[in-house]
Amino acid sequence: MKRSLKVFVALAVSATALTTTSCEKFLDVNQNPNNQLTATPQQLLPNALKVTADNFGNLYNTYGNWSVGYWAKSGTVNGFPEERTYNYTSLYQQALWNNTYDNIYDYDLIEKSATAQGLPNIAAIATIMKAYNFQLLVDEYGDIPYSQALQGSSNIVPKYDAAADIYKDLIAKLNGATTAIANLPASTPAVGTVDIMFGGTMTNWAKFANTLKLRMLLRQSNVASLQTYIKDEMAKLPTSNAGFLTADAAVNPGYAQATNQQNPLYNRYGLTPTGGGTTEQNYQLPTEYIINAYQANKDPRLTRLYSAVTLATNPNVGKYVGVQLGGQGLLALPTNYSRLIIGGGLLKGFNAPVPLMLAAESYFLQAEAKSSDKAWLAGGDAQAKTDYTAGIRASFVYFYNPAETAAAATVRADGYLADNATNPKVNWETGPTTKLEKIIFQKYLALNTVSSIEAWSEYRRTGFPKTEAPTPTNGAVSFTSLDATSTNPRADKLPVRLLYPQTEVTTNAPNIPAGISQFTSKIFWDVVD
Amino acid sequence: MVILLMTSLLQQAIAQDRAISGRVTDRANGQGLPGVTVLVKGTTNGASTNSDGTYTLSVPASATTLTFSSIGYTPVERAIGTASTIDIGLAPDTKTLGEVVVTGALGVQRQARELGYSTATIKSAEINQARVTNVTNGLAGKVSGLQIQTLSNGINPQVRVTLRGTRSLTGDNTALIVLDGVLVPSDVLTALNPDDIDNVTVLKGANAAAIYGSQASNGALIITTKKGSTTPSVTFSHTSQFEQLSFLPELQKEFGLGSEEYSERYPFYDPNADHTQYTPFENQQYGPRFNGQDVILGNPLENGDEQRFAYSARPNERRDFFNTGYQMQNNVSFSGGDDKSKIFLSYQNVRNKGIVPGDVFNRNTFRVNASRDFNRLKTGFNVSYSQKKIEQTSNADRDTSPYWNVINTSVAAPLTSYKDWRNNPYATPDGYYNEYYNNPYWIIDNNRTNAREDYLIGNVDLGYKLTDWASVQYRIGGTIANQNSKAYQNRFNYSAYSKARGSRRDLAGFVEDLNSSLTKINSDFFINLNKSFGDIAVSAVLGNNVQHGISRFQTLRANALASPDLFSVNNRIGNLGGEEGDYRYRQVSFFGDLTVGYKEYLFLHASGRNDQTSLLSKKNNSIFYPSVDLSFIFTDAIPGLKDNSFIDYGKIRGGVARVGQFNVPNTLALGTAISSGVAQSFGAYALDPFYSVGTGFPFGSTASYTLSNRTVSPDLKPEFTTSYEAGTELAFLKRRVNFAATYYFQKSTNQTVSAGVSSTTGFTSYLLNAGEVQNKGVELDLNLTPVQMDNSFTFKIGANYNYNNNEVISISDTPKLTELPLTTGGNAQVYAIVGQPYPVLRGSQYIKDDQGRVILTPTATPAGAGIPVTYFPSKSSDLKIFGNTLPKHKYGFNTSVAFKGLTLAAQAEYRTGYVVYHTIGENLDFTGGSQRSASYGRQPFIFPNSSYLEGNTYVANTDKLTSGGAEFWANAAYNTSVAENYVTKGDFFKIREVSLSYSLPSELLGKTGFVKGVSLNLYGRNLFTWLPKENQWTDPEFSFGNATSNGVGINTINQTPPTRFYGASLSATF
Repeated sequence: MKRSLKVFVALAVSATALTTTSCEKFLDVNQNPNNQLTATPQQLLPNALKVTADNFGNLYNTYGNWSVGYWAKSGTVNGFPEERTYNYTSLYQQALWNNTYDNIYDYDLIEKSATAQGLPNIAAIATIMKAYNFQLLVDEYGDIPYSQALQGSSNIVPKYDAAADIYKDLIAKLNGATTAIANLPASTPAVGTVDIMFGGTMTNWAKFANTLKLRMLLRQSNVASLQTYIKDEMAKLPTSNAGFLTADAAVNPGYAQATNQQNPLYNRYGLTPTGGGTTEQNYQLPTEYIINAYQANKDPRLTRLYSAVTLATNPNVGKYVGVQLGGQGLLALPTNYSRLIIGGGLLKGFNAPVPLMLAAESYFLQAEAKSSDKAWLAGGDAQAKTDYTAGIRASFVYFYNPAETAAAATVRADGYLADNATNPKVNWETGPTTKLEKIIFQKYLALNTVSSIEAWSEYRRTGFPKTEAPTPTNGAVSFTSLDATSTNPRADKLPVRLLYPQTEVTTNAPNIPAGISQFTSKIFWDVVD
Repeated sequence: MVILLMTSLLQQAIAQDRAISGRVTDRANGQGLPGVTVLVKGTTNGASTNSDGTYTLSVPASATTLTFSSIGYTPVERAIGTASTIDIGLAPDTKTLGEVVVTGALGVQRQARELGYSTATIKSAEINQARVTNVTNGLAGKVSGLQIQTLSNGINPQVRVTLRGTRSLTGDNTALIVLDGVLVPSDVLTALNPDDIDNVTVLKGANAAAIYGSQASNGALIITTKKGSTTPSVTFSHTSQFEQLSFLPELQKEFGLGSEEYSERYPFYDPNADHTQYTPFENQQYGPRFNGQDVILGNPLENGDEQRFAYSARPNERRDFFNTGYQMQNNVSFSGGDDKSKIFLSYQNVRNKGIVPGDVFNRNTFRVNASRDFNRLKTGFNVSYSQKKIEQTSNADRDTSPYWNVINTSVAAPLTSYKDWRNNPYATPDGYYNEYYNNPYWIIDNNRTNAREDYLIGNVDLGYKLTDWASVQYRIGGTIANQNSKAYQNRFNYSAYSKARGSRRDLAGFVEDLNSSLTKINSDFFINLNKSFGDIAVSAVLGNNVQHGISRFQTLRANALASPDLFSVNNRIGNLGGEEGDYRYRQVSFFGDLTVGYKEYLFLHASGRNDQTSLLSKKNNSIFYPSVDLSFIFTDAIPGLKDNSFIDYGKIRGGVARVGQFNVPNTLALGTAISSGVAQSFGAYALDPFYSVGTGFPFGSTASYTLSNRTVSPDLKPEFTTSYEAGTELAFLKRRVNFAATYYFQKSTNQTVSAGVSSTTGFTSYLLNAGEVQNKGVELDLNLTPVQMDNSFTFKIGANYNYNNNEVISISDTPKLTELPLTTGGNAQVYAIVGQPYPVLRGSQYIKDDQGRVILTPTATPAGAGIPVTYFPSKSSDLKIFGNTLPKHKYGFNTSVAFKGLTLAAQAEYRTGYVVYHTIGENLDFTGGSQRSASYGRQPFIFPNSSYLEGNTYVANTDKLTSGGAEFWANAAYNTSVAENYVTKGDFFKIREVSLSYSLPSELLGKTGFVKGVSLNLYGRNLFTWLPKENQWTDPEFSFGNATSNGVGINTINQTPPTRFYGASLSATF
């Protein structure tokens, strides 16, 4: 009995002694063995750029495709109420806002830590990418949190800044970034392959920054009070073509035919990594409007981008047939209509890079700034025409790549220009269309399903390409939905912006601007009806 | 080996002088009474009865009298004479009611009269009267304040166990589970053999459970398994049970396949004609009215063959898809021992074939409970090993849900003819009529999840009696759970012919292997002191508790299979995917518990506990909390009441307790994995934001990371619940009438809230301390015995009632938060909203005028096409609060009639005062399968309670028509995304259990010599469910999410339909 007591006490004491004597140590088991708690700028940059490509190439592009008339709903699916009616809610396209801020925060971390670690090149990249992403947000939402944003728990209800002020600050930041790139200390370690857009070539980053700045200045070009400011800022831009993008600025982390590693647009609307069609492949079809924009102007890009009707039993087999958004009596099977070619110019392939900005856009922006209407960049109409032609050629090169060489695609472009020598929509000189209308129309054709959100912003800025009030028979000249329930007084009935997301309504209520309507609350640069 | 051991012990028993056997029953209900001490008078020679009340005793020839005694019953003496069988019924002892022993916290036994808080004990017989496989299902409706919610059906349903409402906004609200004195994870409930359980004590609130520390604010279920007995016996039992689908949603039987909207009838629009077009391959059911004509179904096959059928409804096909489920339970147990040693062994096999063809659940449970006293040293151990095998359809989403794919099948389709999908050309994926969804029979065979779970649960218990008044006890227990599972989808390549139509795409298939484990160790060391000083009795407990948790999961995934029918990651295309997580936590506590009794009628009890956790920063990781309560037996204290024949027992009690909870989100860093199985993070590593691998990375040799989206308050503290309760327990008229009432009030403060923050901060959630929730409620229990006759005829009836009302007092001031979403993504969501009950359902509604009428606006679609203007409602951008999703009122009813060995018992439950959202409704309206979508014969109709604008005023609508086809019913803007269309009252009345049992009289059995007891039990569960008329959809108990999710109240299509069970059970004791 005595012995069993001893045994018992020994057992109990040893069990509790472990805990009482070294409690601090015993409880010190809360170090995360699964994830790293710090990361270098080099470890963060590739993902940040890849996420921008996901957001831009998939989310922004998808929204733009619906709103600016590239896509319409197929008969396979019943849905897309916001896209068809413009009856937006705060839940519509929330991901644009949330994913972009999430992405910008990573750039902010990169910017801060790169600066602290003596990596001004990486810091400049982060600055430029912040500006790129903030511009996208401003163009869809107007006033947004900026100066108080990205402060984590130290300010969880950031106030909203005026959109025009944000634009100004972004341009100042871009100026700073290009200056920093021009003055990089020789000792700065190279960025290298973690830059999955330009492979570490900082001069390309400077060109990208300049072109982005040009885009943002032109976007404000109709605001009367900003004319002097725009001229002053334009004067700081390079005087030669070489200062702007001459090749597509495209992200490619090494897209591969594997889960989560495919080109984001292709992964959503093309084929899965195993080669099967994606779920959403059949949900949208090209509009009559975009088919007509190519077809009516003898544009060979049509056949590179879209297939003709393949269903043998359809009387239109072999013809190009688009649909009208909100159109009636759509046939269920998508093979009754033209479709985006898998492996064509729009859904190029699983390994296609994601352009964040096309060379074509760079040329069209320069053409606009140089043309005598504005003459903000030197060169005049002659140089503007050269840029205009270069823009069209660059678009052909982009869409035909990789099926054809750049040279072959350029020959096609020149053929297109020759075929439209008297077509006022295409030919630089032929009236009565204005230079601006031609430039924006060509930009519209070039940005199709690649940079659709920019086409949508340019439409809102300029009203081009033209569209009419919808009727069941005018799909070729109107891209507005037949189901539009719009209070927009304009004939196009289109919305002019997105509503602030529900997440913001619930989390930042004191600051969110009130009384926002998707039909009347325009972005500050949208002043022409 | 088990069998061998049993036979040798049996022989030992038979080899003695003279055997007397019999059965002791409760005179109140005729049920067998376990644990009754049977002694040869004047000796220590005796036995105790086992679970069904039977006993066997060897007596010397000299013995003349047996005594039968049990706490709570009047002892009886009986002369032996020459009888070899003595059956006896014991009557409850009205005066000793307060001496009923309750297993309280730490497994320490307490007399009920001492307790200043509310408890309830449910005995084995009551839990098992309808042969449940999950012990918690046997508690439903039997205890006031306890809510057992079966979240789904199927072969391995999840059950959510809560007590007295919900308190924590984001933390766990489910009751603590304590098995044989050891804290165990709630998953253990699915691994227990209900037959092993001796009783379950429900500690309803924080006051009772405070000694268990963190999480005790949710109350606790104290489960005690069976011990051996001094009479060796072997019990065999067999149960066969059938499960039958009880109801489907109300589905229309008038319209066939088609998806047309009215506008497509242009230019022939005629509101009274039926111009909708038949689309033979459509999944939507907005086609023409059935007319019996011979038509093609689906597209023609590649060889030109066409499936022809009469265009008419086949309403039984969908029901016939489901099997009658069959469940078999086989049990064998041995109970034996002597006055120093006890042993209980059991084995149970449960094999359950569900109503979904191919779903099988198989569970084997072994248990050894043993104890031995060595003079002052008491030793004991309990070990249970349980192995579960679950093979079922994955049921992960709309494409793999059998239920959804069956009810989404047209009422016209000859569904059951598609069973042989390999050979029937119209049942193969290529030949199946539905262009957009697969044949449900194909789905169930090609989307499977097979899991194997092993649970080892055990404890070792050592007690040493130091002196008459002091003892020490050490108990170490652990749960080890391991899960291996494989989920897969088969690869299928469609024919080129089938794919050419454009809608069908090859299915790449996938396979995911999961390995997960969970180990929880719980160690208790405590000192028990019991001493009386005159009229004053003191009992005290001082102790230490250590908890340690380790968990881990690993997944391995192939996102595409190279060839069909081989479900291994070796058979893959593309990269190998996978992830892993490792988690650890520890907690150290010290506690003390003191009860001071005065003259056996006044008891003051107090406890205190200090917890230190590894989960929070050093500054905030230690908390102390106290509780105090008082019990007063006024019938013993007031002389005039002591021998009153009206009132037998009366107690008033009250208490206050404060309990902390380390509520750090128990979420795993799951990337792509479907499930993490039994693994838990315990809340570890939640304080620091971390970098996780960017989606898709590494690309080749480029790795990259992104910061997590949660930021955490550097000052995160535990949350606290303060709980007050007061109550009374009364017994009248020789205990024919028993009544208990409790009022409680709880306030949970300083909650850990994962607040959604503006993503403009760079984060999307912020974990901070904020928020206050208050619960108050009443629990009433009334048990009557209207008839109790000497011939053993007894009629009992009981009812219990719980009213619980809670309110979110505040959520957070900085950031200013007045609501917290608990679910995301649907048209109606569950929230915590300041000033509202918690949780509350909120969702979309129609735009209405100031009189509450739905405003209709004229719509001409297509514009100018000659179609008459039709009037449509619009969805409002303002959301509507529909109400709380947990019942405010819960009523339980039970009754039993017993005569001799025959007992008829029934149990029913009624819940009311809450709402639920039926996602299934919006889905069925979209596809046109619901009866609702066929309202008004799909013709234009006058929208109920609507108005329209005329000039500047809204006038009641009496003649403006709303178009009644797919353009309305399937339309998201007008109908399916308007949540208020699918919110219904959650009320239900269920007859949960009916059982008829018969125990063969032991006189009859006595002649056989070795059979001690035989009983037969016929039972049914969920035999009848009443729902309010507006609920056309499903069982309101069903809810998505898992058992610990607070977002209850929304059901989905990934469930199985409600079912009822009936079965028979035969048990024999030797």
